Amino acid sequence: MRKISKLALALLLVLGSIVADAQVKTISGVIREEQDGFPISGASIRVKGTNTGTVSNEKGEFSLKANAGNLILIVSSVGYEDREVPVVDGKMARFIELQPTVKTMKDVVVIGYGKVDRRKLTGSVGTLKPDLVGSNPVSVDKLLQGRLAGVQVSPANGAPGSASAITIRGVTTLSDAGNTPLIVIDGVPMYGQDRTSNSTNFSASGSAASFTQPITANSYTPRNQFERNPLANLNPDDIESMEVLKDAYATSIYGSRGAAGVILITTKKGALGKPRVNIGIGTSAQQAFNLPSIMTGDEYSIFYTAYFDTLNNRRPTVGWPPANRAFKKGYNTNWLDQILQTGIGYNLSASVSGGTDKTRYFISGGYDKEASYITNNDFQRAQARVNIETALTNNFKVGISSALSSTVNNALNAQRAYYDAVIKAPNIPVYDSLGLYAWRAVYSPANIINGTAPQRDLNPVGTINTGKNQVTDLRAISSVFAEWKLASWLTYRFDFGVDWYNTKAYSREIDKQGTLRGAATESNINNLKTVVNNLLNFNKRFGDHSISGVVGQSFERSTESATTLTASNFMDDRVLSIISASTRSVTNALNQEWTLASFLGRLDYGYKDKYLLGITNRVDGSSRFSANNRYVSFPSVSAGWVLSKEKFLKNTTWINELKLRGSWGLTGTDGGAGYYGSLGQYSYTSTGTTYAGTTIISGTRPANADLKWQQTTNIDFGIDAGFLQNRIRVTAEYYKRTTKNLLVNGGLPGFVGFSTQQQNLGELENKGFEFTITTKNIDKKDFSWISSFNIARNENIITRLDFANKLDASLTAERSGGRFWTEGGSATAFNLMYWGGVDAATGNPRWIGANDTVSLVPFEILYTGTSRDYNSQRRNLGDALPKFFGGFDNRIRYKDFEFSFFFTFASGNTVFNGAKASMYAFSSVDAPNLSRDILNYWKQPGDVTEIPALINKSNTAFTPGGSTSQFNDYTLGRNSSRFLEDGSFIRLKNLTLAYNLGQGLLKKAGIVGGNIKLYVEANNVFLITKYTGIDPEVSAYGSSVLQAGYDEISMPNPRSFRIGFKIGL
Amino acid sequence: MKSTIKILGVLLIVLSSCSKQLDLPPENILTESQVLSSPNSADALLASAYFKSYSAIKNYYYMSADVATGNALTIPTSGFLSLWNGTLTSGSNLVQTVWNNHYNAINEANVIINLIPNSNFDGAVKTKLIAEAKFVRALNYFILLRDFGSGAITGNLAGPGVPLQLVNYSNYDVSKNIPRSTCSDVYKQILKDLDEAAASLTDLTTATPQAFRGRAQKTTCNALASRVCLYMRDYAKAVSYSTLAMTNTTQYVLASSPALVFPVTSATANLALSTEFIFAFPVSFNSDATENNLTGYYAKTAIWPAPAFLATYAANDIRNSASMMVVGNTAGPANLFCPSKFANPTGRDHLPIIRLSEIYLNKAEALVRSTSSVNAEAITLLNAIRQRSFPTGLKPAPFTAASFATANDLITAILKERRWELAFEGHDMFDNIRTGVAPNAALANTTKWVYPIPKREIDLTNGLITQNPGF
Repeated sequence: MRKISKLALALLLVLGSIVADAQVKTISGVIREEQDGFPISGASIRVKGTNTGTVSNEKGEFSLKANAGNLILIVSSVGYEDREVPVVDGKMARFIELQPTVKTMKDVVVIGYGKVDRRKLTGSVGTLKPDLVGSNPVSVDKLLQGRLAGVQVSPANGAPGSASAITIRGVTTLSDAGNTPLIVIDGVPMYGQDRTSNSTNFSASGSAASFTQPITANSYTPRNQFERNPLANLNPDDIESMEVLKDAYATSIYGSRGAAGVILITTKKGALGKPRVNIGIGTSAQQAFNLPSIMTGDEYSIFYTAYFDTLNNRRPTVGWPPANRAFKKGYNTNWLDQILQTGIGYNLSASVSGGTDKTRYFISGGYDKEASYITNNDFQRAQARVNIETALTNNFKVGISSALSSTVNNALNAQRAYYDAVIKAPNIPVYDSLGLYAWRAVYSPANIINGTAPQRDLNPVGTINTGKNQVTDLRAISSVFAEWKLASWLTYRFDFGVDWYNTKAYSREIDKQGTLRGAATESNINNLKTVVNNLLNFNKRFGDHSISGVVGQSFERSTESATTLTASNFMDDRVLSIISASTRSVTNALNQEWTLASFLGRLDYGYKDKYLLGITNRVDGSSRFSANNRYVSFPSVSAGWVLSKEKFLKNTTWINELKLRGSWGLTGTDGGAGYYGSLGQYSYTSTGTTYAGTTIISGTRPANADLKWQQTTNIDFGIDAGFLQNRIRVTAEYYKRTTKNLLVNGGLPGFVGFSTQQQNLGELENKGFEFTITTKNIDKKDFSWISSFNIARNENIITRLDFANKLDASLTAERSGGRFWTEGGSATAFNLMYWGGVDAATGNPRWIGANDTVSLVPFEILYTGTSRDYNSQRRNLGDALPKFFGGFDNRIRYKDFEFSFFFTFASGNTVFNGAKASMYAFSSVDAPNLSRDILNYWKQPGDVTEIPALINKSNTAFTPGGSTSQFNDYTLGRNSSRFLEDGSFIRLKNLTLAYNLGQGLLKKAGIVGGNIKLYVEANNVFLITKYTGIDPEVSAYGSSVLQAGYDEISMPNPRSFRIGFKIGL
Repeated sequence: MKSTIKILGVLLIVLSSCSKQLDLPPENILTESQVLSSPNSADALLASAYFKSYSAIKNYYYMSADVATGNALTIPTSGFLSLWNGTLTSGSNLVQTVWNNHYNAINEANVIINLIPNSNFDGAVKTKLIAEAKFVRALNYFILLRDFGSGAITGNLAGPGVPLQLVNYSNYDVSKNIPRSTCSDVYKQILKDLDEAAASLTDLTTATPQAFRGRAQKTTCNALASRVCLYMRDYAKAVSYSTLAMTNTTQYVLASSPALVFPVTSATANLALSTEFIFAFPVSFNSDATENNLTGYYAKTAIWPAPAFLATYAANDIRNSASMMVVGNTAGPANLFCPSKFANPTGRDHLPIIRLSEIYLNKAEALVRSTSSVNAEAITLLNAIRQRSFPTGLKPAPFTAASFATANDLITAILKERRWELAFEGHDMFDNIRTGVAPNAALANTTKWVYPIPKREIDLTNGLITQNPGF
């Protein structure tokens, strides 16, 4: 094409020269932007081969005098491609349109296997370019929190390096593995959020060293597991942009892994020019946001002594409660105080970037330390990145994007120490009379009699100061590419990428009562993923028609291996090596591999840039699919209509951009069916069980030849608009996502040989809207104010659950890591027994049945021995995920000052305050410490209180008989609404003040264009909520969105302050 | 454009190699066809079917038959009282668990029986695997029928038995639901399986490992059939099966004293298996430290022989002597005893299922009942068991035909001997029920002599599977 135009131009010139005369003429025109028709001011217009030239004015107009005849104008402007315009006989088109250079195109959006101009985008993509006034949070997930509509990020707890749940447009499937987005960094799909594979057992002892609470229907047992955050390996400072792909147009091209959304991370590249150095230095302080109010040692002793007396009066049994039932007084240990600190952290990062015509580079390194507010629990990261690309010839370019990182997490104990500090008896000193840690959990008379207590070690101070609990990640995420420009419109690209993820965890309990001579667990996980892409990108215009897109192929292989060793009976606490233990065993050894071969294509068509059409498809073939269903296709179609380019709006100056768009398409997920989901599976036991000397292999998963893969149909409608010179930009969207063939554990009648099986039993639906508005409230040279607000609403409904026996299946689901799901309810609903408060006359809890009948006896007891199932009394009392959520960011610049504040909010969600349940759990066996609230228990008729009588009809201490020491307490179960609370909140997440200084200083030093910024920031400043716990934004179950909404003495998110410099040279 | 074609050529080559890359077996599991393609893994699956049968019957299911009739006592707060005090409901986990576990074992047997014929390995090995699997299936159906079959052991063979699932699980929809077969049909299937298994199997030899008394041999099949026929009241058949089960006199030999069958040891592995065991779950040969869940006997705090029952033994009976009623855990109550059958401190005692002495008593009882006479051979068999139970010099006078006025008197004597001989081995409740005696006062109502069908089975099959009367 170019050749032809050059030829034509030459012809014109030749022709022109024949008829040329020396008259001077005025040539005038308007320079404007190609897409939107914005006038471009300050563009330079020069007559080729002369020094004659001018500059366009504010309206883009120019005029210059030149010899009449045929000549060429060279029009150039920063950020736009240069353009040569022929002038024939002093005449030319009035408008000269300049095309933005790809590099500087402000609104380029990265999508799957390519880039697209946002104005031509027919799909739904949220973009975040990290550019905060202060410093970036330490991990990428926290950076995303509240920033993009429809993207919900919930940190599990306040321990550094712990995982977050990331949910895009609601729950997609009813199995955890299918609800986390695919994360792709520079073209490499990385190992992302996955609760099963990212959890590290951190205590060498198999079970949690915690109290047994009174037996309840669904009690919570803290697990000695720490879920690592796979995103903590990335340095947010290296990130140029993060794209969250939400609708079918954007996600279908990721096929079988696109259903839960996709996050694309693009790292920084060098820009043309001299080397630029950026340095960031900061130091931070972290504190507990708030603390629970628990009893002192004396309060504790008085309470429990009284309780044991009451028990004795109520039901004297020979020998129990013991005669010497008084709890010791005199010590008042505040365990929380003993382990809390102000955690001091650091961040240091430096990068140098730049480029020549041929080569661009970006090289960075960084070190971060985040110290939690629990002593001796910190997280450190060191990482380095090299991004280089170079043009070998005019048509051939190669490059590398490579990052190495190492993280050391010593904060595995933080959650456990925090939990233990809350429930450990406060009437015990930290050290016993010998100066050793008092590991005994409690000095309860009951314990002394039945001798159970010394088995249990519980001393948070000892926990954080002894032993070792560490997980080290070494990770290399790298990709190399070669790009070959085959024609001006066609580029072939080859990518080869790896994610090499090595995790080593070591956990050691010292020699103490519960772990005599010590115990240790060591685990190694080695995962290697490789991806090869062969892509042909095309981009061509034929008059009014433009096409662009990609066809290609991708091949991915993941090799995963894991080993776990456990050991006990060490010779010496100081020798860490497992080999020094006299008892050792291998408890896990796994090697597995999966591959994914895919074919993909995308075609974007535009007519006059007004009418847009997009088609994508991906065919995935996975080694994990059964051979009969191996290849699955995921198509999408989308369309857009740029109204602002229509005649009737073209002259409406206050509308700069208005686009309607819509998309439809399919995405999938294997929903955790895993390997050979449809085939019967058999495993050898890890303990090597034999029968009569023959090793046994037994069926672990029944065959299901009918198994299908889950499929999500996505529909999305959106409006993108820009008003008043784009000072106001709005995006509004409506979507509906329907997942069918939902994999659920369905009940089987036992006579077939299995009682449950994963089956395609359900359908669910997410629908909602998202709204984002960004406004430049003030836009002056010395004073600017930009606001950005986003809000999203999502409604999730399980529309079909083909359980043969609904109650049974819901209970099965609840017991196997899901929830008590019901048809017509949400996937994250709380279906609980309805707690009706305390009966003022008798002090008994009131239980409200399904038909509003009130019972003073819990249904568990009422229906014992009858054919009625107490679970039929449950009702839907709330949802763990909010009705509305979003964020509100403001950024103000006045002269050299910058100021920003950022709110996040959620509304309509409920939280199960399991922390309160645990702190209300007075138990005659373990006597854990309690909330002060308990002191307000019902004492006499007429007392109006939320705390029932200590002995009531809902705890079996009421009924004589039964086991003497352990009581069921139905008021504390996770299946009742007693502790279900409104979790709506508004949080001032960040407040930053910065001062740009030193421009003068730098000038003196001869550095032009440099900048030094001093900032102070506060994170998690305040929280407005009705929630009576500390933090409604924690989850005891890590990245599992299906089990969201449980606060089980989970460490609240910290409040932190940071001060630092950002230096740009 | 030429270069484009080259690129496309390269692409095509890359693509064509992809499909092969997708056939990746995961390392930690095997699929069904893989398991059945090798004799070793198929044998491992058979071992699992045995192990699951063991898991299904051990623990309180095993002990309940003795607690129910007062042979043993347990604490009043035991969570399993309902198994013998008549309060069992159809929603109880106890019935659901035992039902599921037996059917789970049956399914693994079904996989072997139905799919092994397609495997490509030695035909003789296949035949043996299938035969053993049929024994496992028969054993589990027998236990299920005994526990759930309405009338199964009280002579009403037309009553509803249990669903007879003879195919391996492949997938499920409601069309796969089947109703309960009659007790008679289930019995027929059990005997058919046992006959076919016996025809294919050989017997133990001196070279066979001891632990193989935990796997089916020819004698094992006949021995189980002997009890099956006794329970279904086909006494003639019970006699003939018992005779068959007593033919291998080199490998299955009655010990000279019952104490020798149950030596007390604290060893944790490979405890000796007496030649008197025709079938036992060989707990101490299982490498995983799963105990038999009967350590309650050793501790004497969860379950212990009832003093009243022990008092019924004649003086000098070895079965109530210091060698068979031992101290157990010295820290336990001093006035209580622990049977030597379950005296291993770590619960590694083998779980006896069929002993030769039972076959003697089966045959004796069946002879009397089938001939309705004071049968001489029956008396000989009874004497063999009774005489060895007393030390030399203190043996009572052997029974003679004159000792019994009627055939019933002889039956009574045989049943008494049976109670003493097989005490704590999971027999007594069923011996009571099949002879029409309520095991205890709480079970006076005959409808409580079987477990209720689990409610979940009825719900999930929309009532195709029916409930036993009285629940």
